[in-house]
Amino acid sequence: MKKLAYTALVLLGIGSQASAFAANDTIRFGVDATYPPFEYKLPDGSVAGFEVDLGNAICEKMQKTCVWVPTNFDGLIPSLRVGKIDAIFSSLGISEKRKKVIDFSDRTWSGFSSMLSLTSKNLQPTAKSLKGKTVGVQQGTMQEDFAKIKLARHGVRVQSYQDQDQVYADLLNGRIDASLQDMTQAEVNFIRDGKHADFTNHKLVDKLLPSDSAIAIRKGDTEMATIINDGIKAIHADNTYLTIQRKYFGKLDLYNK
Amino acid sequence: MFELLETYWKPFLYFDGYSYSGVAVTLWLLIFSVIVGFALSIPLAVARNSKYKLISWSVGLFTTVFRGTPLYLQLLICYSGIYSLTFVQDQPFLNSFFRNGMSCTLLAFTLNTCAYMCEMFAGALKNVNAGEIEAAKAFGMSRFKTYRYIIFPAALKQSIPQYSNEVIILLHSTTIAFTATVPDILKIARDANSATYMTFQSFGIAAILYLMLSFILFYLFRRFERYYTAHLPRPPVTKSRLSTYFSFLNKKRTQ
Amino acid sequence: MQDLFSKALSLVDLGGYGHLILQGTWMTVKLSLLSFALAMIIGVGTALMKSSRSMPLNACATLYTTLIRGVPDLVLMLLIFYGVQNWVGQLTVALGLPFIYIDPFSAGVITLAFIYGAYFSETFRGALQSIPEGQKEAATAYGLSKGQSFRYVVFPQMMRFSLPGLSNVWQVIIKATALISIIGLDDLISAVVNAGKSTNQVFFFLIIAAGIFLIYSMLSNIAFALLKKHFQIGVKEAN
Repeated sequence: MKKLAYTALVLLGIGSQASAFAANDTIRFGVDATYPPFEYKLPDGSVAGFEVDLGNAICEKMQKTCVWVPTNFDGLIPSLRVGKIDAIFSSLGISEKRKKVIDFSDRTWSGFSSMLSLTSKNLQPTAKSLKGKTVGVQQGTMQEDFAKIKLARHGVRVQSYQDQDQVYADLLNGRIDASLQDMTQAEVNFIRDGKHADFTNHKLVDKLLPSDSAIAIRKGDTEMATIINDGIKAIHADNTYLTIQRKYFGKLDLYNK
Repeated sequence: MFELLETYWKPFLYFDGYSYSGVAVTLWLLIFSVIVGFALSIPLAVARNSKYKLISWSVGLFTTVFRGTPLYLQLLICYSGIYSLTFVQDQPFLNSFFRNGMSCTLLAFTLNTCAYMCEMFAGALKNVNAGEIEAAKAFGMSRFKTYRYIIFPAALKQSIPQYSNEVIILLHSTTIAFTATVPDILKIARDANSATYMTFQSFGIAAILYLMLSFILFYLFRRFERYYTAHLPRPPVTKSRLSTYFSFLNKKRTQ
Repeated sequence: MQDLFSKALSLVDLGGYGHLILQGTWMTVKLSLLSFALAMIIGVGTALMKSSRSMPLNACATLYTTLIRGVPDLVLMLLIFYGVQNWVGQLTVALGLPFIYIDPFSAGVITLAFIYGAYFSETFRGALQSIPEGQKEAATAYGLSKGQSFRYVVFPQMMRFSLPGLSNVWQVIIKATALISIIGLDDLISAVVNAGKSTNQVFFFLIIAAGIFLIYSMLSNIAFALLKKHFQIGVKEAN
């Protein structure tokens, strides 16, 4: 009876997700897979999306193995600094605040930020128009920083959520009047795929909302920087980038804005 | 570390710029749920011990469901689940109630703690000395009087340790409130972490705050228990080996 | 027959998410079993430390249980998930070992075991004290070493006395595993939330998760009742 219990325990321990040891030719990418079509989770639990495909293409060109580590968005940068992951490829905008603590690779794609709200509400992405209303953002994004600095101080209620899905859920059921996120993501995932035509996507331009996104690496990790930048150049050189972009966005051009 | 404290001491304690936050919100969640849960649990506990099986089993069903499922799941149901139902959104009162994150959280916490307190108190009610109840009947006390003067005081005295346990467990459970966008201590810690990337320090401050709150509550309950049982003989105090070494530090105690 | 089977399967399938929910349930079960086992080991060790005569061991154990009483589960989980990974990383760098990653599952198991080990230590300490002194004296009289007397005399009786406490803590652990979804593990709750979001039937799927937890809880009660019967063999119970 005891022996059975012990063997069962050992088998459980083996069968469970055991911690892995790092190999030198793997790149561990941290990703918050709740941002379709850039990164999302398939029903079987694996990650997929535009940036996942790009990352896999980079790894293929540089002959390394890609491992995708799903993490909460606001845990990405702490995980990177601690060494849990080697790079972040999760729609991370190149903001000044982030540049202070991590390094960025070459630009991967560009896109503006936007505010989503019901067309019938007639809201503009300004503090004056949103005064007294509630705006939802994902925790850790530069849209959250923008909202806290530019909007919250002028009488707008800012609510932070753990992931973008929760922001959209509360946007749909009316808990928040507007939400701030990446414009392309809102357009493709919420309005087009979600079929919410009664929402408007207002473009939002500001110093605090840079339009360029890139892959993030630890400060001073020049080896990884070289590998990734070479990979980016390689996928542009033979049009792999264009093929992947066409698969997700059709005619939209995210690189040459 | 000190810049973190300097920027965030106010949000951690009570105000983060446009709403109450931090310790103030956590204490509000705790105090409201404990008081309302306690008030609701008394009649429910009496019903739980009722001789009519239907009443007793209905309350039993309530406590089984709320004690058998995680509090986090109950919070999710109150916050995301109920609000997604169309008939809730159509009714103006329900709509405005469930729209507010704080009211959803308070509802979930209150129901949960009410279920636990009901079971505890029902057990204590059962264990009241049968002889005292018979004596009350012999004196001609009505049922209400018996409850008020004999049964409730005895049951309450017996369940103070369990209540103090439950309150501290509830304090620890308020940490999930941030998932319903309620700005409690942990939410401020996450905000601080998100802004400064100093993970260990932000969560460490939160841990210390919860530690202090737990100890204050524990101490308050001990004082209350001593006050409530002042008329009873004190149980013999067993000193641990550790305290005998530090006994010189103790002030004079009236035993 | 085939028709009936496919009908039953479509009920379980739940709009395509049945498989995912089963996976999540299995993850929750694994998590709770492993944490329980590890917590028991930590609990026995801590209980022994607390009843030992040496002051540093006693102080260590008391500090540990005091810490657990004061810090909430979720805060500890976040600290371990981010903080311990940092220390482990620095340690492995200092020792020149390859980097060891702590994934959400391991972080969850370590945290839950760490927390509930303290609860178990209280249970086991009480159980140790309830064992009649005469048993330990008889073991020494027979010439059993300390280790042997623990293994053959003290431990089985300690298990019998601590069974109600064990069952209580087990019920608490089942519910504490729900917090793991907050740090990102794909357990039952995150599976159910995903399913609800995708099919827009959040309430329905959450109720299903509640049902699964209730069933799990009831099965555990039955299992513990059977265990109690097993340990009561040879013991007369006063009715």
